[in-house]
Amino acid sequence: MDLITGILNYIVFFSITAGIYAILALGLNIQWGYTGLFNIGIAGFFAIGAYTSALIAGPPPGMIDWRIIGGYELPFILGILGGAVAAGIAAVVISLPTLRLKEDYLAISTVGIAEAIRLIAKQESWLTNGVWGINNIPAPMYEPINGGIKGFLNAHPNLPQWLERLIGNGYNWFFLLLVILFLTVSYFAIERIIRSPWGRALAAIREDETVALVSGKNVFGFKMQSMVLGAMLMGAGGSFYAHFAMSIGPNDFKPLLGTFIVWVMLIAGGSGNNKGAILGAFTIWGIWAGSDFLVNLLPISDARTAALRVIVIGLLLEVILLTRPKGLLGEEKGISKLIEK
Amino acid sequence: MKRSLFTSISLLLVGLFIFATTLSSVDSTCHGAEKIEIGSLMALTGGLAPYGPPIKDGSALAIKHINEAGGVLGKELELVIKDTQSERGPARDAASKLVNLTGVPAIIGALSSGSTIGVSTVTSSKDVVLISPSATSALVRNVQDNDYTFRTVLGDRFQSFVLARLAGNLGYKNINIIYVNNPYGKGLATFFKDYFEEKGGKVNAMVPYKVGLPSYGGEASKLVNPTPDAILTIGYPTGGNKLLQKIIELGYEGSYLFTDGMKGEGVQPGPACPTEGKPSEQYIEGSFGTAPSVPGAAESFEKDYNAAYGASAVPFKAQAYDATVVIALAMQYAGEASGSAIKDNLRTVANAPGVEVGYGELEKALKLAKEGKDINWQGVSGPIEFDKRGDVQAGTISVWGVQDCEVKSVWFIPTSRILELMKE
Repeated sequence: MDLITGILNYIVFFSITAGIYAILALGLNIQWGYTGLFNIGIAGFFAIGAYTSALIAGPPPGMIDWRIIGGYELPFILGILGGAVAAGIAAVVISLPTLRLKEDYLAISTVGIAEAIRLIAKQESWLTNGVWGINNIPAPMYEPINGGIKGFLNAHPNLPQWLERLIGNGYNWFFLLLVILFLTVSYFAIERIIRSPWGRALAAIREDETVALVSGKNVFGFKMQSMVLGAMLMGAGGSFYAHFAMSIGPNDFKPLLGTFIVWVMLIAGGSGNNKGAILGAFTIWGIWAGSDFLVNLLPISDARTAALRVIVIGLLLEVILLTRPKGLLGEEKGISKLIEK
Repeated sequence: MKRSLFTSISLLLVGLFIFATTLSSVDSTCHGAEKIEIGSLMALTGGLAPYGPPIKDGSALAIKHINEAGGVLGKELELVIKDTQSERGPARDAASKLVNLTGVPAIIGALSSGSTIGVSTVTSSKDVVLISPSATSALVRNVQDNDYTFRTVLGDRFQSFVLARLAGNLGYKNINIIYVNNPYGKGLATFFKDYFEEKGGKVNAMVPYKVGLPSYGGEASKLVNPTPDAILTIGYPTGGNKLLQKIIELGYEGSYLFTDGMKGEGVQPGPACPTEGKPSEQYIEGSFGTAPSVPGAAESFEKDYNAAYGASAVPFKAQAYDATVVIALAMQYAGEASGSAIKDNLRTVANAPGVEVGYGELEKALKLAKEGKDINWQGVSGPIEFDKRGDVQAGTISVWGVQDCEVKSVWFIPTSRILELMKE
């Protein structure tokens, strides 16, 4: 029983991380999957969301914290809202000059901007506390929930260990619930709008920009809206990340674990398919985390298994992309599921 | 057809994941009856990869010695090692695996200050003790951890102070600093500047650098023009080496100062002598640096370490050894291998008062702990006295130099003396 509790507790932790990535993947799906915007600056919006939320809902500057603003200790919900809005505003500012660029150039400029945002976070200590990052960010409802759990466990000291560990993990269950709730609402909202005339206009832009323009659609406006909506989701994802990790720093938003892994998730899951984005996030993070167990089965030294693990991750990603070039689920039809393609 | 293929693949993946998870946990619980597992979170890949293995071996040596002395609570100890990939996200994931799947009561790690803080939120909420052997940033001190996070390494400011006074005594007036732009590097650099300028020195340039760039031409040129009396390099051999080479290419022939991060056999050019040529052709010959370390006990520790794992100049091995020992002693003293018991008794077995025991006396120490006597562990890395925030406050900063192509410790300055000097 102890073992099952342990696995369950780890799966909860794993799912929170994967769920946060799924939020990012959904955001990217709006931009790339439905509109064809080649945004490789996810980490930038992710960081803006995380930092904004940490400034709104996080602790005030204290020792070894040289920020001069932020730390209003407002509720988590305002943190998410602020994170999403800030990322949305950033998207408008970034989109104005870059959205007129064609695919590859958009990609180059967004990846540059994301790095610039990370470096600003690293240097501007008055706002972000520089390399030290913002720490002791409160998790939502942590005190009441964890206090209740601790009180319950103290009142019932004779519980079997597995049950004690299961209940002791209560807070993570709560956080997972929050992530799932957010994910579900976003999923249905996106599904709905993507089937609206607005969503069809996005698809038209993705398939052929000129045709959309000739049909009288404001291509730039639609692209901007798609970019902003996706960025807002990414910002919200950043907010969840900040409050789950309880500590953020500029190095959390490096391109590999902030941008490219999200792309792999979306491509592997099925670009243009919201279910695919979520499935991809869980699968790819599963490979990332699970590869650890695979290489541990080998009878070689730890330093070597660690290096081998990185190779295994790459290899498994290749296998998915080679065997399922359109992703695990492939693109979902937007018009009618009854028409065979 | 398509759907079934997809279903089978995803089922396969999920199945593989769960199977592997189970297998690894079953593997560990099978030994559970006769072994107590301790976690070790080390950077085995990524930017800090040169540090992970030797520091991990420091813990492994302690485990070996403890088991030779009869183990803890009648059981053998075992180290379960996980890789942090030198990144915070994977470090947190690895910590969660150790806490939930392996079910360890204590973890030694993580290496960097950033990772240690990230991990501490995972461990402290699950009543698991985390002891970092190498997180030197002052930041770690202020983390809300319910007293579950400790460290066996001295904080930044002691090292910076010694380095600043050393620079003054060597007669340096103008110093340029290049530092790795992370909590470790920026902390040491900031403290150094304060202490050095307090005594009339001048820091002309403070240049941050980023790990993993292909070239450091821009950074290096800022350091050599105008030529300073010495260049203080705060960083790691990955990246740090490239910097040194670039500085030398630009024609700089002056002195260097280093911190613990650049103490190691991985530092190029030097400290190992070339097969041809004289030591004097080694550019860093005659340079000095500092590191938290200790005399005396450390020598026999180094000897045993070298015999078991081969020589390594990477610092923090002794800190990892001590971290492992105090965890074991606390478990033995409490009579229980749980995180909260370790937390409650760490100070009893490490701090004064108590019977002083040191390196090579593990059998005696474990016996005393079993009898419920207070112990005052005199570690290899220092006397190990945890204060109320879980930091060690007493220890020694060593000054090391590169002489005849070898890294040698020259002076040892105890923190008590440093504190006196700071007050002056």
